[in-house]
Amino acid sequence: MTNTTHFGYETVAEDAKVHKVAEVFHSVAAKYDVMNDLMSAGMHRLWKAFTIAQAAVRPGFKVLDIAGGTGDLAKVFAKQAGPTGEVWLTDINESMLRVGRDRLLNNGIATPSLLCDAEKLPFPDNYFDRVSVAFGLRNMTHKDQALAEMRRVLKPGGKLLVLEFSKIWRPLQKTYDVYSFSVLPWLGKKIANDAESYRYLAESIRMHPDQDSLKQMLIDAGLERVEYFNLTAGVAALHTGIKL
Amino acid sequence: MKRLLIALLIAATTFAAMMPTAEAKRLGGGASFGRQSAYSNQNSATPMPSQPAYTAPRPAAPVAPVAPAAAPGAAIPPKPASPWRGIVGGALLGLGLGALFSHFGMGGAMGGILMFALIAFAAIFLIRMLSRRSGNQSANEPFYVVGNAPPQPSSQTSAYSSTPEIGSQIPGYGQAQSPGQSALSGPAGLGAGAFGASGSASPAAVALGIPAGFDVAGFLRSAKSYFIRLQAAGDKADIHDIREFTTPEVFAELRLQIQERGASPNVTDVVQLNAELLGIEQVNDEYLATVRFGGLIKEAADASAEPFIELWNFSKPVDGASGWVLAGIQQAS
Repeated sequence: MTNTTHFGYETVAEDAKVHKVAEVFHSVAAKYDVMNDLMSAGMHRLWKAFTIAQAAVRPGFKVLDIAGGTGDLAKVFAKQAGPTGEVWLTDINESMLRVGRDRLLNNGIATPSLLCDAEKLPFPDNYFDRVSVAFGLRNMTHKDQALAEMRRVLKPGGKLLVLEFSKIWRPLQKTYDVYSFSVLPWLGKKIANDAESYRYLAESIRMHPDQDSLKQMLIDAGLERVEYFNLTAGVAALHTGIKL
Repeated sequence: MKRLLIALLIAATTFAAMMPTAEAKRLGGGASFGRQSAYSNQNSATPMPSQPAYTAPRPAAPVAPVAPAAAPGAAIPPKPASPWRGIVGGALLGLGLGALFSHFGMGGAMGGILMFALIAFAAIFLIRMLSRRSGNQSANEPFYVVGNAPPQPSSQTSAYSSTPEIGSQIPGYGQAQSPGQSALSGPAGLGAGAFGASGSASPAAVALGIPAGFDVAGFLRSAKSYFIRLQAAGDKADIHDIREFTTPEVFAELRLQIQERGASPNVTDVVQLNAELLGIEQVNDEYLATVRFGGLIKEAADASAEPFIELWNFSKPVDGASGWVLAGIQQAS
């Protein structure tokens, strides 16, 4: 009897989720950025810019970007941390990491890229000044375990930033539902020729804990001064916590 | 008195004009030195006939920023006006109007109207972008897409295991430079283009094009990290790092340049980097691979990013005794 978890609205065995999520991202890697711009009308750039501002990376910082995908955050962090800093781009998905690594090189950034599982981070304790995970936590099978790992590798005083889709402001719920269950898969089909992956995206957003539940999860993982910021009426939310 | 002032002024300006201009510079100071390659003649964007499979899928987009410096006859389609320009312009206009309206005390009412206009704009933009995308979907594929890369034995392992060997490795120092090949030693090479492409006119040079099965994507990836790393090493005057990645001739030249620079700090920031493998040739017992780098580079902390094109020649002994090292830098003329 294996444990089960959810993959969108489906209930699947835990180890099956890993493979299914991997499939989704292998399938969307090439068109990931174009789709992000289209689906969020460019807003994901604002959300990321806000996250970067909250991270306040200074020269010399060690930064871990988990589920860094195409390297949007790592690119800026690397410039901010400068030659004395250390920025690691990691992702569990090879296709995404490949795109991200090449993109960083094309921007003149030579930074280590690492294929790794956020639930078992291959780093020592108390190593990073900042750990960020943007739109990645949702896809992890054991979120509590992943958060605990992120806390472990943070230095005392270090900050965790979790940017993720969240629960939208109630009056907009109806419109958002129509958008994400009709428009989104249609867009996915039209652009990336892959409606299924984008249906998974919409479903996984609904299954993700809302702002307060995620805040509690961060607290349970041992982070302190946990707070969240709703972005675009709660379409996304940035949670931050500090390891003390 | 007046005449004296004028004389002083003239003297000052002439002196300023004669000041050496090479202070903060990228690695090599923008000069050509070291081994030069025959492939420099092909530094236009025209695809080489010998490897259509490689050059054909590469869209014009990554090369576009440096296109003005390339051959005018190159087949680069004109870049369509960016849709972002309109959007940003609109947003700025909106801000301006908003400020104006609120100044006259009708901010609230106009705000609503403007909001609707904004939503309408967003919708139109989305629809236009969609129709364009579906039209030329395949042409827009970015060049780093894995599927576009030349066939590799196994996509699972190649990216991580087939990275070319890095560094000169100690035996590399023993590599014999055949007479006539050591293109340079000493400051004479400083003069830009002093050797031109003639350095490669040695009868032993055999152009191989790009051999079938050569991991172009992996090679270019390593070449880019060499480029970035060597710029950083040059900035820090880290001669150990430079020695690791260059032939003794290039190392001598670079060390000389760093010594001439003295203690003044150097800042180079690679903002955008594209690389293209022009070809590989065999010169006696060495392979020489020519990579054309292009993109944007800042050569001082507060400078603006400027386009550049540079050919870097990497060499490797045929017997595989050591990995690829930088054997020469060549300015695209």
